[in-house]
Amino acid sequence: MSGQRGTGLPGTALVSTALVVTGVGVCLPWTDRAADAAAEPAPGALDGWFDPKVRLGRRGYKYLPPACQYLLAAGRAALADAAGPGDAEAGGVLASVDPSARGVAVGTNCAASRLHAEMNRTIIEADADEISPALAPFFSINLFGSRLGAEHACQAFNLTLTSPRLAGFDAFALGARAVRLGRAEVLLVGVTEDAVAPGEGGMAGAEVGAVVLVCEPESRARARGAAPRGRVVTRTRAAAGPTAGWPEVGWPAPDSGGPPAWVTRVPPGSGALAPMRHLAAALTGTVPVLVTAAGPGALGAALVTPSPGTAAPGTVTGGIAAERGEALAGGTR
Amino acid sequence: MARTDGAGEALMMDEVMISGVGVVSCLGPDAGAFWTGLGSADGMPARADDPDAHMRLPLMYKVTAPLGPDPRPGGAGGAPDGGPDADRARRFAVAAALEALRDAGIDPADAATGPISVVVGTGMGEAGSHERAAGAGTAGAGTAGEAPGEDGWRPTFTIAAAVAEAIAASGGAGGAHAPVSVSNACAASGFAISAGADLIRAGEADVVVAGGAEAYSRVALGCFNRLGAIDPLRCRPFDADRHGTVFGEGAAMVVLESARHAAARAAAAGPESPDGAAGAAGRYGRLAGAGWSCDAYHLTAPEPGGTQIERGMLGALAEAGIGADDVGVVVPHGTGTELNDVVESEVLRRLFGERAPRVPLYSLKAAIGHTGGAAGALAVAAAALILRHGHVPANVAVGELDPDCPVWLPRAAEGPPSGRYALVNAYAFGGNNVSLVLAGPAR
Repeated sequence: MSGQRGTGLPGTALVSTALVVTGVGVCLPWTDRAADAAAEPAPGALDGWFDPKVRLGRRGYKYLPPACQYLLAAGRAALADAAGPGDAEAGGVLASVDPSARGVAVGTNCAASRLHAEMNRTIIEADADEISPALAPFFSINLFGSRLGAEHACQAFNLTLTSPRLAGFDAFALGARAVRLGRAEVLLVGVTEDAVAPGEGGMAGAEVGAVVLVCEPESRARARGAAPRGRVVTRTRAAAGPTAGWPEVGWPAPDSGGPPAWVTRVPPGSGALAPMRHLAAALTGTVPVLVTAAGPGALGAALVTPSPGTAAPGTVTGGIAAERGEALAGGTR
Repeated sequence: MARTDGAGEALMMDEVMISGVGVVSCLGPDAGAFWTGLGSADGMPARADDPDAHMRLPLMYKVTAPLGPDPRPGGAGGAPDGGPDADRARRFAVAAALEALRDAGIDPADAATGPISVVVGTGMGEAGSHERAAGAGTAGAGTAGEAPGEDGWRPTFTIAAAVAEAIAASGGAGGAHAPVSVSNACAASGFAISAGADLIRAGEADVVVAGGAEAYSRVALGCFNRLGAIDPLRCRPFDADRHGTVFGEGAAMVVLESARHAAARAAAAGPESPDGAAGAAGRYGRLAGAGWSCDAYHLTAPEPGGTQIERGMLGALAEAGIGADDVGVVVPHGTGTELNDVVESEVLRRLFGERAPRVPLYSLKAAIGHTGGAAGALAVAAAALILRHGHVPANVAVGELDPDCPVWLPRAAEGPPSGRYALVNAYAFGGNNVSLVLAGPAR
């Protein structure tokens, strides 16, 4: 059995690991291209846009809840995007990574919301025995990310973060910290959402879809000849009140590699998807972007620094930032 | 303390002290009632107080005691519990967090305290509020305390935010990080405490309030009924006649503190106050190690060989720098679910070898039920209290032990533990596993 890494001393040695993003996968009603992930969704496109048989396969996926299907599709896209020369022949990006070194961290707020509402209605109006046995386990919101981990034999760990709006940034932060502490070598970070249930309010800001990133040490990416898409550093702060203005997060962080060129303020919404959509899009751009978002009592930011020369074909310099962001005055705010 | 990584770069690696414990459970509203009750609980659940619970076995270990005042703006002042109130899980969490801070001798308003980070595990969050709002028997009751945001969204997972809000309302400066909500089902708060410790070890925080909270959820209990996973009588882990688990309500929070912060606090308090801040810092010892793993095997069933839970336990021991022989007590995950108890017992037998029959377990869920996302934190609280008090409480009696579960559940108070370390396990749907090692206080 392989032991956990970095455990030679009493207390884990903190291994200084620079993680890079090598794969970006998105599964959204209007696109499966990361470069288009920051577009604002057209209203109403919550259901009927995803065919699990086409996107995932004919067997084993039809009865999964939608947010689980979206996450699996984004995960496959991210791993395909992360492939370097020879990875496909070798059995995929993860083939050379021991299952005990593959970690997963997934953020979600509403993956189970509509499912919960339906189950609740079934129990109130009929009986718990009327709940579908295939769906019953998914009352537990960690099963969405756990299904992604099972799909790719990720045995290092499987974390589900649910902090309102910032769960994706938390997934990145906790996952990357766990890698630094030697709990994994390669990390899948994702967010998946289904629309809010009527009882939760916020329907106008409902989100559907998923984003997954493949993260690994830069040395590992270089060794297999894969070009990093870029780097992501996240930071969050507690804040008074539900949405007390925009993040004053004290950027740049010491390890951020310099000030960002643009700030993208993610508008309020009912889930954790939009911040990660903007993060994914920024990774396909050409300039560093600070993606900021706010949840109840919380402010967060992710500094996204795309690698030079890896912009997706057709990406306009500045990308989303040129349209929606603002230039930073003096490099900090 | 400074350590050196493989690249030769010196990094600050702080020990993680456990300085305070707060508990809300069916045994009472605080850690004192919890500790007293562990050795004397009758272990019997009650019927869920929910006219809409249309399911075969609507059983719960309920929190019934009144809680202390809630300092959040608009928070309920000592609202009585036991009824189908909204906001239950949040109020459990806030009460436990404030108790843990008091127990640690930490005043959030004291400038020397600095930022307090919050990491909370919960499986269902405030799902119960949404469920009650839709219920026929208690229509509308669920919206109290659920202040919608500007966009009208009432998110489900707001417990960590409520704890941070309560600390801020008590004069706290706000965390170095935004409050973090972890939702790995029944292992959620085990991961939350481990993640809180990681914040300290990585040098990103000095004081972290970490734990978990769970309240009655019609949907969670209904789905466990649907899956045939509820015992018709009570929660009786390792019993030969067990037929599943029984859920419980509750919350537990610990104050994790960097050794540097604890030492500074003790020095500032001076030798005059043995029961004050100087005595409180690290009074429960240390969170010495954690091991994470994932079965990646099945949505609900454990991997029968226990390979990954064994890796988690070994990882926690290795991170603590100890061997299995140093472990004096185990607070197992042990839920009463048939296969889970067998697999965990077998791995403990492998881990301890011929010493296995002499390592006492405290089977917590027999006393308070399976508290879901709070279970790992309640187990950590139990282990911390065992190490501090120096004895293992008498286990709640179950029937004849399953011969496939070769564990020792002492029926009389047992102590002191033969080793100064405690092992805590927390497992979940999806095969999400975490083990924690606590080191007892110096004696």
